[in-house]
Amino acid sequence: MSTHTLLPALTAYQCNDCQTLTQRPPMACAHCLGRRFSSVPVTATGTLASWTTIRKPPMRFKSEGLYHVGVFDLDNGMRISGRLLHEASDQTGDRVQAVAIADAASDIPIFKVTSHG
Amino acid sequence: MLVVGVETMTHASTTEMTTALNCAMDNEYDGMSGLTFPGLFGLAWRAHAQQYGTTREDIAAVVIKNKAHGLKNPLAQMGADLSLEQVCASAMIADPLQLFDCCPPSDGAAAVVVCAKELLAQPNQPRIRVMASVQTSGSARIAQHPDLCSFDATVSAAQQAYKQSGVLAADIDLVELHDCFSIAEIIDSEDLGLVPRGEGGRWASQGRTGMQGDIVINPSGGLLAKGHPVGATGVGQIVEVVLQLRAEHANQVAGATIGMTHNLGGTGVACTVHILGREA
Repeated sequence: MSTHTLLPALTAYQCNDCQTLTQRPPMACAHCLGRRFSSVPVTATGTLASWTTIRKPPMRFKSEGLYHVGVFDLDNGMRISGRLLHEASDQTGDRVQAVAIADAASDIPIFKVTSHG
Repeated sequence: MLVVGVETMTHASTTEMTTALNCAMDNEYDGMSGLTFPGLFGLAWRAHAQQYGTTREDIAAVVIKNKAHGLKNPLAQMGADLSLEQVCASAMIADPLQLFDCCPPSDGAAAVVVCAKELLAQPNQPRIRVMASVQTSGSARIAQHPDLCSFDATVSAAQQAYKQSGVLAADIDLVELHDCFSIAEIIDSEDLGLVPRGEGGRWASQGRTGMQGDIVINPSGGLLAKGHPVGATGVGQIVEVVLQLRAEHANQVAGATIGMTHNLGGTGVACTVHILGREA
């Protein structure tokens, strides 16, 4: 497995009214329609729910060639998506941890598998 | 009332089209991560394989069936006689999704006339009744789908359509559903309650969704064989089912009296389901 610095935490957004967590601050909370959010640290570890390799990207990402997008279930129960540093041995259910933020403007995390199964 | 759907797509390159179609995605987050619609269904495929043991061969059976149906439908632009080997040898698009698992972009148009029955120009023509018409919404973001193998909007639309029409899933003779990708047909068939949860792949490979099957799925060839002119696809599905219920379809389902259509948009963010019936 490649060596990357593991991030200790990610940033999520919590509805001030119902405490529902979301990956990005929405215009309104999908749960209670609340409009006030606070940024909170959340765990950067979880499991790999699924992933795919994008071989036909849209124009914005064409210069990257192929890349991997995944869905991750964090240990606090929150499901998020982001990029995956994929290796051939990766399987759904593997343990993952975030290693970087790909795009600071949109908080897209990059994960890697830390252990199998 | 005249209902028209129209679309042109073939003037654009694949990259331009992928970019344009991605506008239907959550672009606060999913689009920014580099996700595409083939990618969404690549994620769904891997989750379905993990949860239910669905195989490449099961999913290829959908492609082979729909492409073969398309050969019998003069309105289908991309019908083909395909082998499993040909499907498996096609280019990888969004792993494990390959080229033949993807509907082709297309130009197309479709129209239907909806009217009160006393206004029918030909009183002796078979009357096709709208038994249910439902539109629902679902989560716009992939991470808000608790099950990657199901779209809440489809489940909800189907349940409302069955209630509205008073018919049961077992009463449906044929369905034209949104097979934008092969794995989508499997998920849709389960979400619509036409196939038991998790069994969509096996039903396809066992021929239970073919012309002689328990439920005939996409006798028109579906999006995989007709092409997917996005703005015309939904109305086109209605036209296909009306032809079936009038017993006028080139790939006729014998004795069809009740048909369903299913259309899904974005990351499962919008869904329409119709149930149409032939009046005696």
